[in-house]
Amino acid sequence: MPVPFEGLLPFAIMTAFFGVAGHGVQFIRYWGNGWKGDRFDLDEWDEKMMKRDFLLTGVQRGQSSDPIAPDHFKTADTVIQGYYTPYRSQFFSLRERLYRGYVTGTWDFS
Amino acid sequence: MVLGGLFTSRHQWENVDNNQLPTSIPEVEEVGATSAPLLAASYFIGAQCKPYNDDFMLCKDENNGGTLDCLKEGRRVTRCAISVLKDINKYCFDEFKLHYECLEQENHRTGHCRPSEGVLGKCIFEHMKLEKKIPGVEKQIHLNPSPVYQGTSKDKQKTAEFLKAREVKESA
Repeated sequence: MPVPFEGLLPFAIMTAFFGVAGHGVQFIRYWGNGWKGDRFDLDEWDEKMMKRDFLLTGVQRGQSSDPIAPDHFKTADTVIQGYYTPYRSQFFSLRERLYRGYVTGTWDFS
Repeated sequence: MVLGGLFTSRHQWENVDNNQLPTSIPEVEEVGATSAPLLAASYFIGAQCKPYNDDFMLCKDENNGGTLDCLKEGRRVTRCAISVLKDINKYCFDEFKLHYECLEQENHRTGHCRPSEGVLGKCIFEHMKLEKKIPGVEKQIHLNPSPVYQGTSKDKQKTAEFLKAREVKESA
């Protein structure tokens, strides 16, 4: 006994909307990468090279085959330094800064 | 740790070194090619610059890392890489671009870009007499006529279009 097509309509709608969602996300990612496929499975070297690519070209996922880097590249790299502290939010939290007057400008070092 | 950056950022700062390089260290131009072109050119750079690279690595071995001791050798390595990139851009610009654009599409997997790699390798061998040779393997995978990964259909199509366009251009 054949299934009437009305019974399959919900499945068609569900398939269509899942498809729109998935392909839509895929399209947005492809567009956001500058019409290139995603990078995946990246190790530290790849991350480092992608950062270097950004410093050289000025756009994410940009590529250039120039043999010689522009002058600004020599001083473009920065290093984030930090130190470990167990008191991450206990001192110098927003509440404390408000209390000390760091935010409003009425400093109080007493 | 969703808000981690907010709390930890007060214990992190950008390190800015305002000191200039000492004048005793001569200037050298840096390599300007980005990751995909460098990957495409890497084996040819290696083939051309082997003596300089070996010299640099030997220097590093002998000088406990050699951050300051191997600057001269390092400049030679940089200059040699730049010269190879210049030559590739001069003689094989289109093939080079075809290959590194494929690499960029395929997450820098050379196995997915074999057709364009073959075209680039042929051009470079013709003009610069450099050959890709993977060290320390029994079989050179890029010379295998029937590898497991044969390249994506997109790359095959683009390479075929490239070769056809070049034939038309040469015959005209």
